[in-house]
Amino acid sequence: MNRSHHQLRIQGLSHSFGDKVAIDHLDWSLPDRGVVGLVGPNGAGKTTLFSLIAGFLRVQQGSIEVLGAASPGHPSLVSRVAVMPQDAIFARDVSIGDQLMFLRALDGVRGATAVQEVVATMESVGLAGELDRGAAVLSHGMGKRLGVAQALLGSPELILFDEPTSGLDPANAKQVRQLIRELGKTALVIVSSHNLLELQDLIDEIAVIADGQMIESGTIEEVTRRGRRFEIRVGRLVSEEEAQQLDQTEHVRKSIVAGDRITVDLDGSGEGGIDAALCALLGGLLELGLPPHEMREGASLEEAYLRITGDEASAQLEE
Amino acid sequence: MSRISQILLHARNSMSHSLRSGSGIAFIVLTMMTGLGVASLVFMPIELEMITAEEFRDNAARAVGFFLAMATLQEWSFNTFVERMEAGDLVELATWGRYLVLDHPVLLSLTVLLLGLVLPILLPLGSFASISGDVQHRSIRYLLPRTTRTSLLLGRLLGALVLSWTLITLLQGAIVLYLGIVLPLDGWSDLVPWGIKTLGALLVLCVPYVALGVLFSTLFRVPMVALLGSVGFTIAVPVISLSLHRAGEEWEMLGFLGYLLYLLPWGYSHNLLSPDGQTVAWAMLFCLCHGLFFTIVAVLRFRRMDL
Repeated sequence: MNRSHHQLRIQGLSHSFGDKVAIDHLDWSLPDRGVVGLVGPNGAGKTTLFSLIAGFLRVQQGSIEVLGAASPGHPSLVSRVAVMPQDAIFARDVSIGDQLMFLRALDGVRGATAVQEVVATMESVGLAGELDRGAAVLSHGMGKRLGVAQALLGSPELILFDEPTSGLDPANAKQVRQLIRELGKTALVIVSSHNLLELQDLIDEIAVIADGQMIESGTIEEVTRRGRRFEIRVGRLVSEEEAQQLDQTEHVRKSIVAGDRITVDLDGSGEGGIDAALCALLGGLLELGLPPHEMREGASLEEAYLRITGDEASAQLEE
Repeated sequence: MSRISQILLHARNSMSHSLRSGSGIAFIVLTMMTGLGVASLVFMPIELEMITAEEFRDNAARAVGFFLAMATLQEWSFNTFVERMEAGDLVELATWGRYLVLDHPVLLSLTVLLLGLVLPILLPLGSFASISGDVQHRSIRYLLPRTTRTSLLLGRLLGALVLSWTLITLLQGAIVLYLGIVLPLDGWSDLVPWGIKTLGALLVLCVPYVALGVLFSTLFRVPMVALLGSVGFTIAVPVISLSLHRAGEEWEMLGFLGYLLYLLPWGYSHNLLSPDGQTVAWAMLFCLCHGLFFTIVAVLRFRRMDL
């Protein structure tokens, strides 16, 4: 990703609802394009952070610089930021087509061009047949897709999606993911989701937020420690003695055994780099009579997330 | 897109939405029904020949004079008012009363006076959901990335104002037509100019009360609370201030609280129908300033609101 321009720069951001601190001295900078995942446990502050970036909530402390503007509600940001909020609904008694046309009119696009764009966007989310109907007739999933559609209208430079695929059937979820991927080529897209499997293949960067604080952020490689962590499945249960011997193997910094699975952190800084470390690890396993049946580079995003947010076994590995 | 264009777009969208939403249709129907109901109450004694036009004018002159005495915080008892009138006191009010009921079409003057009392309570119905409706359903979150908060609020205010103005113009037009065709106590040459002048007074009177509805719409997130708040405030201001002013006759220290009446245009809106052109102009200016004040407070509140 191009890191020369920061399209979103958050510094020292704090936000409270009464006594409850939702965001606590958070710093975060993001480049000008790509897809970024925002994950965290329920109540971590994701939606509050989204609402602050979108300008729905007033900044109480700290600063948010969006697309070069000093604050999220700055007039220069009009039509440059798109948001798919999680809980917003369209007016029930006005046709969907009219509502989307109105949004385009606010962007300064009207007439045949606006009609074409609206129809094309609705087709892309599989809702072209609903243009003349009111939002009241839409199911939860259709409402969700409509929310995605309105965010796709125009050419926003920053797009915020809050749980864009929750409640969607697999085919529609896949379609939405493809749209997000396409958007990430020209804009900065931030996706909040609990579906880590989905995010793993979708995003370029990830940020983990917990208790209102940014506890980890970076590329998927950085967060999952791909390149120095390996997950290995062997053909039988590994004994404690074998695990201790594995720990003594050259280039192995730490390992943790759970049944027939071994997670190993390698030190690839020596001569020969990570390849030499990997050869030493495989040699050690074969010596112990533990030929690998399956081997995967890096931890899955889900495992990394659990480690970052306090999963016990992974935390043990860190120590 | 320029800010003006956005404001006009919001205004048009807000009006078109009012014609399709439940609260908008309720406002239109209630305003028309109430307005026509007020007019028919005024016309009834003459229509049913319960009283002659001359007797009606005499009684109306006294009633209007007493109304003006109360509105200007000068007299509260009808009997005392009559005594003071006969003693030559309150000459100015007597002139004013004659101006409304003898110099101009009496039925139209009385209808407009009563509309001036009723409309302030009805007008918030057209603007109470301007902001709170979208805030409650969070549909405002789809709009905010594409517009500024100030444009949105000013557009919604303009939409509510234009809708109210349209309704009042239709109402006034219907009343003038009825008086010209069905109850021709006065000729068209009297009715039309007075109809236009009194329409102007009502349209100006709309501004602060519509703005008040929008202000309450930014103060409360639930539309029904915004409606009750704005209507309650509109009614409470004259009731409380006039009660305190009357109490001030016995407890002097309370008397000045009667001027709470000026929190809303209640204290001077009658001046919009004054025989003195300068007084009318000042009343119009005060109404517009009142509207501007409510609008500025609403904009400041809305710009700082968490949505």
